[in-house]
Order: sequence, then C-alpha cells, then structure tokens
Amino acid sequence: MAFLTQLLFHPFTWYHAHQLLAGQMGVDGLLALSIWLTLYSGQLTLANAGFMAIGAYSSVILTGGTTSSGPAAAGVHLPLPVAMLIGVVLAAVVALLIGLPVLRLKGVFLAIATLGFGEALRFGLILNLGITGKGQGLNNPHATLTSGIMPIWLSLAILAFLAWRLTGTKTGHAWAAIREDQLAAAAQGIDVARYKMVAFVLGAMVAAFAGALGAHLSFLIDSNDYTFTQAIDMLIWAVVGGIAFVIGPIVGAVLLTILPEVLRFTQDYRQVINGVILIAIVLFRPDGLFTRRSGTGQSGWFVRRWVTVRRRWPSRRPQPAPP
Amino acid sequence: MRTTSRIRWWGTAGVAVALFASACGSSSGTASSKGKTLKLGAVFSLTGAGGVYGPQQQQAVKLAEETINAGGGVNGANLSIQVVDDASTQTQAAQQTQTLIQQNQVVALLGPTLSNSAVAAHPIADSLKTPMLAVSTTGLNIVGTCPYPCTYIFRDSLGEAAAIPTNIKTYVAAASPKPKTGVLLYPNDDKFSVDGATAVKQTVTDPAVGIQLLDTIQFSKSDADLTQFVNQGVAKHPDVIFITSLGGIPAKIMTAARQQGFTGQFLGGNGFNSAAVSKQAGNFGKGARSASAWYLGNDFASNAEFVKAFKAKYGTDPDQFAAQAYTGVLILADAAKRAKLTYTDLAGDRQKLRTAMESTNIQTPLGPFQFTSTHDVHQTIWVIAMDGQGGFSLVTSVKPS
Repeated sequence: MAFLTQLLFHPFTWYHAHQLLAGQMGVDGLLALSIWLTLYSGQLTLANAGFMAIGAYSSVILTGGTTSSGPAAAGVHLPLPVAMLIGVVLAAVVALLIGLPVLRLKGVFLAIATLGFGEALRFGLILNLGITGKGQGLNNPHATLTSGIMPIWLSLAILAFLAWRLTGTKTGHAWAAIREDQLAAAAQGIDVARYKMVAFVLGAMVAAFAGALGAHLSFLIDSNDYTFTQAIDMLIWAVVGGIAFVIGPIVGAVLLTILPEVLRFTQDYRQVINGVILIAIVLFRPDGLFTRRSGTGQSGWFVRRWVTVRRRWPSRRPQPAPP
Repeated sequence: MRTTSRIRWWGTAGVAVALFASACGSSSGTASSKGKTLKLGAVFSLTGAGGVYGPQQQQAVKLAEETINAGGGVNGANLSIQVVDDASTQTQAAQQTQTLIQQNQVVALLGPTLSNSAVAAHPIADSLKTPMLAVSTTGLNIVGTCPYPCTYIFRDSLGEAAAIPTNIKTYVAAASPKPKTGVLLYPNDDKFSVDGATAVKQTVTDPAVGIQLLDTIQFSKSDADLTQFVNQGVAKHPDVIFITSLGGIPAKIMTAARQQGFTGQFLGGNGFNSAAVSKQAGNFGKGARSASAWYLGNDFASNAEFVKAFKAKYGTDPDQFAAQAYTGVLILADAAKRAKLTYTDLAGDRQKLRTAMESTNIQTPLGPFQFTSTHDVHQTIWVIAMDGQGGFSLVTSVKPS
C-alpha cells in the first residue's frame, strides 16, 4: 500500500527508488504497442519476442558486447543509435522474408507459425552462433542503468502518437476493415496481403527497437529473456488493455508491469492475487479496459457501462400495446 | 615438569584475565550500539524458477538473525534483515535491490538467488556503493572480472569454475584404473549449465586429467524426455559421464544411463548438491560425485550447531543453499562488528563495511571462511558422493591453496 501512496502523492520520491521499474514499464509499453499493430489489423502474431531478440542482440553486438571468450564482433564499436537502427532494419528485413509465407495463415495457425519463428530463432541461431555468446549470454559493458529511461518514455510517447494518427489514415482504415472481415475488405478492393504485411513489418520494427532499448538497461542479455513467455506476456497486456485504441495495450503493459510491485504487501499471496486480478479483468472486461462499442463512437468504459445499463432497464423499453 | 605446568597455569590465567578485560572492553563497545538497528536486505527467489532454493535461504537468514540477536546482536545493535522476493526475474531483482538501498536504507544486501538476476542486481548495488554478498550464484563473472564495476560485490558461494575442476581432479587422482574417456551432457539454453560445461571442457584437457571427450551432447532444459540423448552418450562406452545441470535433469540422466547399462562414474557440479536430486536419483545415482561448498555431516562446531538449530526450528535438514545464506549473515554481522559503524552516516557505514568484509576470517558452517582478493570464495572444498538413499557421504576434502 505504501507503494501506491508514494506513487500517487510523492511521485519524485517514488521515481528516485524505482527508476528501473519505470524503465521496464516503458519498454513493456513499446512491446505492447508492437503487438497492437498486428492485432489491430486482425492478425494474431506471436513473433515479437523474436524480433525483440534481433534488436537486442544486434544492438549489443554492434556496440561492443562481449562473450565469455572475448568481444562478440572484434573491432566493432558503433554508437548506440546507429546500432539500434541496424537492428531495427534487420528485424524489418526478417519480418518481410518470413511474412511472405506465414501471413497467408489465419487465426491460431498464424499464432503457432509465428511462435515457431521465435523459438527457431532462439534454438536454431542464438544458441548455436558464437557471436551471440550461445547459452552463456552476451555481456553488455555499455549498459546504462538510468540514463536510458527518458529516451524510452519519449519514444513511447512519440510512437504511440504516430500509431494513433495512423489509425485515422487510409492504412488505419484498411487495417480495421481487414480485422472486421477480411473477405469483405478484399471485395472492397483493399490489398489485404499488402496491408497485413505493413502491420507485421512495423510491429517487428517497434519490437526490435524496444528490445534494443531494453537490452541497454541490462549488463547481460541471455536467450531466456526472449522466450515464448515474453511473447505471451505481450499478448496478455494487449488483451487486458483492449485493442480498439493504441492506448489500451500500453496501459495494459504499464499496469501489469507495476502490479507485482503494488501487490508486494500481500507477500505470499502476491502471485495468487495477481492471477485473480487478471482473471477478473478478462471475465468482466472481455474486450479489455479500453473498448469501442458500435454505435457509441469513441466511447470508453463508462459510456459502454451506461449504455448497457439503459438497455437492461425494463421501464425504459416501449411497452407492447394491448391487443 | 612442575615448572612447565606452573608456567602453563600462569599462562592460562593470564589469557583468562586478558579475555575478561577484552570482554569488558567489548561490552563497553556493546553499550555504544545499543538501541541501534543494523538494517540488512536480502533479495531471494521465493517464487518462480528459483523457488526451489529461495525459501531455504530465507529460513537460514531468519535463523541467523534470531541467533545473532539472541546472542546480544551486533555490538549490541539489533540485526534486522528484510527478505524480499524477486519472483526469479531480472527486473524485480534489480528493482528490489534499488528500493532496499534507496528507500529502506539497508547497509548491505544478500543475494540474489540466481546468476541471471545477479547480473541485473549487482550493478545497481555497486553503482549505489552498497556491499552486496551473493550467497548462491555459482556462474562465471559474478565477482572478479565482471562486465560492470563490481568493487562492492562479494560472494560466499563456491563457483562452478572452482568446484568442477576440483571434483574431476580428485576423482582422477584416486581412480584406478585411470579414466580415459568421457561424455558430457548439458542443456545449452541455461547459463548455469553452459558455464559448468565450459569448466568441464577446460579441465579434461589438463595433462593431469587427460580424459578424452568422446561426445558433447546438448539438449534443451525444457526437453521432457532425455533418453535419446543419454542413449547416444552411453553408446560411446565412456568411462565417465559429466553432467552439468540443475533440478531434475541430473537424476533423469543417471536413471536412464544406468538402465542402458552404463557402469562408469558420474561427475558433476553444484547441480548435484541437493538432497532432492540425490533422492530422485536414488540407487541409480549412488556414487555420483560432486564438489560441494558444504557437507551436512561435518561435525566441527560451527556446522554442527547450525544443523542442530536449523533442524530444531524447521524440522528438516538444511541444504547447501541454507548453509551459504546462513554464512552470508555471519559474514556481514562479523564485518559490521569490526567496522565501527556510526549508524548515522549511511554512505560511510557502507564503505566501512565493505572494507571490513575484505578481511573476513571466521568459522562458518562451510568451514573456515575468507575472501580472495577478488571477493571470491576461499574455503575448504568438500568432495561428496550420493549414497543412494537421498543423502551424501564425504569422499575427501581439499584445503584452499
């Protein structure tokens, strides 16, 4: 409880003792944004942990990361922004290549195929290439503990704004149309395959960017940071927050990242209560915290509640005329 | 004869007087810290993947806290250790380390439980100039050559890089006929196991050992069935099977290998040193050897008392993790006693404690304990073998060089 009181009433004192958590919340927000891009266009992809790894490993290797037997890439010391850019571009290229065959799939098949990509990357490449430090991980001597936090939150704000603006453009409308009914969208002349690919590649780039930022908060990256659990976490954030608006998954990520710390006072029951809260959200808010209801425009939680209550009120309904 | 005994009598009396005087001296020192509280923190994995180790560590730390406070505290100051759970995640370990240091104002910390969390938490403690003592991390680069500054980081847990070579070398030295061939099995997606495997590969090429590795078999820690990997290894007819892994994996490999007719020796690392592993392997694991930081049956006073107190309080035997965590508290309390803490200048106290820790030389459940110049373990290594009934027997011990 002290945690919440402090966060609400003494935010600066709170920040002083919780910078790392603040950084992690930002990174998780970016990851949630990355999966939102594909979910918004109606694709259940779980490849983002893999793209995150691509961003993280490239940025650490290129800025002078070391394996247990010496520098990962001898003589390479690029500045962080350049290394991150390369990581993001690499993720985009990989997304394009695997997207071509994989994006033909739909629903749960797409989820399995993309999950497979993440695990194949981990077991096939990361654990077998010397440059990644294999199972021993990669040391990142250039990590910064606190100076990376502002850039993370700044980029989250900018990217969230851009994503929000994107939903109002032709691309955004195309994504929404594909999500609601792919066949109908195609019948309207929307190039379904292209728009899906755009969402997939953009999501991959944001995930790689988040991975690179997150990696530089840590002095060691390890393949276990990018497992399918990480992919599932992103999905949970998006489901809890709701995918109708870009703010949904971001709020979901921030809330669920901070929740274990908020619940710390419950001690042994922490995990149980954490789980119960998750189940409660999914039961009572199946479309997430931020939802749009047809006919109410840009409505959120409260509007929807009010509409539901009004509909259920019998006296408001027109009484049938007596025969 | 009579004169010598008289001299001895006077000598003893003199020592007694000196001891009494020094006791009076320290009791006046006690008065100076009375009413103060020495605040320490511990970041352990009470839940999640490390949840099989963290709870014993917590129990041992609480026992040590009680024992020290019952014995008059640290120069009279009350010892208070706050144990927090990192849920086996890097993020929470790092965050809790920061919170304990900056908000709860602890003088020093123990933990974290897992190496993976340590690389996230230790840089924080170091950057905030607070001593942090690792009590269970056995991986490479935890102390000494770290990828980040680690001048405030210590560890009292015997590293795999010391345990595995000691185990292999003592086995080869005593074995007859000498083992010539070996097979190494380990999961390649787990840092602890890969670090251990690296140590095995380096040790077997040592001329004093001279074991040829016929095969190195890698698998994933999430593989449910290891039979095919074990078959592949047993088919090479090695003299020794090396296993560097944790949890249920060593027992699974031993069981499968014995069922396939393997009659040679199992050698491993810290992953063997748990009663749970020995129980699970049962008779198939009999004779499997590892080097340990601690042995339950050691009857020197500092261990016997610890084992007795632990059993009385919790009803079960302690394990290596408990012994190392208990030792961690003893080390911090001893250093705090010698450091002349002010209890007002926190930054200064942390600095003093760090300096005092470097000259640690105490009796612990692990045996006589000191730190090396790189803040690593300097202790006797106990080579133990599984007894086939869920326990261990002592094979030999190796004094530190």
